Amino acid sequence: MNRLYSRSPDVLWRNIGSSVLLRPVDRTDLMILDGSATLLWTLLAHPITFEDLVARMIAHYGVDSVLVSGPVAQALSDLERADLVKMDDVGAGPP
Amino acid sequence: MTAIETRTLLAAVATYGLLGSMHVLPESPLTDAEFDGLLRGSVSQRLTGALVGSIASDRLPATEAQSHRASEEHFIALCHCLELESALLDVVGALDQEGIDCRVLKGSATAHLDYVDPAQRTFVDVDLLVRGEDFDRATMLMLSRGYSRLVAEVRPGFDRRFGKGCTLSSTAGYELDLHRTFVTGPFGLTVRLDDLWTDATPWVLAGGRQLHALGREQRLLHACYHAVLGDRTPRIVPQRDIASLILSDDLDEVRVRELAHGWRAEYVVARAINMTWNTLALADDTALTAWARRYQPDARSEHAFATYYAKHANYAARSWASLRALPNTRTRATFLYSLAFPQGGVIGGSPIPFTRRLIRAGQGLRGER
Repeated sequence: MNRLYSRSPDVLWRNIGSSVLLRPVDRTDLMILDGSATLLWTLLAHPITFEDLVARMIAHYGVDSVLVSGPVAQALSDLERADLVKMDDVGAGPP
Repeated sequence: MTAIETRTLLAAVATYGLLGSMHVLPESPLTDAEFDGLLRGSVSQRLTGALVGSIASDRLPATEAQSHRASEEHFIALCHCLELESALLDVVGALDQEGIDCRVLKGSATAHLDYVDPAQRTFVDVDLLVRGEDFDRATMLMLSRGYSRLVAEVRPGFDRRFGKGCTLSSTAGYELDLHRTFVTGPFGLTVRLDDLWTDATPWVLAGGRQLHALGREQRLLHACYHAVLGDRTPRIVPQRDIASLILSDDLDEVRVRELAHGWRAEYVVARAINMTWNTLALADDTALTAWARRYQPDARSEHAFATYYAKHANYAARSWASLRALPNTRTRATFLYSLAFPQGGVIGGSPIPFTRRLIRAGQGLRGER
């Protein structure tokens, strides 16, 4: 079973400089992502596993996986709580 | 910096993201006073996206403080855009539930469909096109949802037959423009409304809801109406929209000319294209821009245009000219009767009886020929 993360389809958003401005459709509050969270948002344009996310972040920043895994997990959790990210569990499928 | 210099600089900034402009931007940061003028103009012309993009890409040198101020203004504009897009989804959903088809005009549709980065194209209201036969129902639906009408209808049924549309105000303070056609007056009455519904460009904004904009060619014609007839001093943003559309690879220029001919709008389209190429100092020609340069206006078109922005132009003069655009005597009589004996309020904001204003308008127009 793979867990795939992607942007929630219920979010309105715009790039603003190196940040991203977001507004879930059914909420009135606005949120801003910046720094590495902006890259995370870019990578979430298409469904992606946690492992691939971490690998892409490591490749971009050139740092050790130990330094990336924790913050990415925390960021995904925060984004999910804010209704900005959705998760889909995808089975391995028939052999 | 004079107002003209500021406008030229704004036009140069507006070409951010376009290839082929001969405008040259300053090589060193503007003084703070000059930048104040540029920033004010960018806000009022809705060009903060192009300003921020120009600074970020080093097209326009700026001090750190100037860059920060531009970003702040753009941030405010984008927050408003997201609020408007949320409202747009809500309104389109409500119309959809009642079986009322609509097309999203300008604003969000242009930002998402005609710009590489939608953040570059900001907007301040929501514009929707509905069919004439649905217009009253759509208006009533919005009124039932808490919107209020800013100007009363001249007479019942006037909007769906002759009007451009109506402006509704939400409780949150934003404006929703419901359109039946693009503009008031003679150029609005000759738009073949069926042509607006033959093509559509779908896109998904959020929430899985598919929205529909006009077809690409109809979007260009609308931008031309907006650029030429929207404001006495033409705005730069619709001209930037025109440039985006014409310089895209997918525009069917033959179809544009066919539509313009059928709508008796060749004058508007040619004028808008020539103005755009001049304002944005664009070097690249297409078959359409070459046609626009060669176009020779006829007297009827010039006369119709004069009712919008010439010295004697006013609401009555435009109404008088509109008569010529209506198809038959019965329709003209209904149009005149509605304006002469309004039920909804004063037309055009003047206490002078409308019939007298019509006569005055006719005299004024004859004097202009």
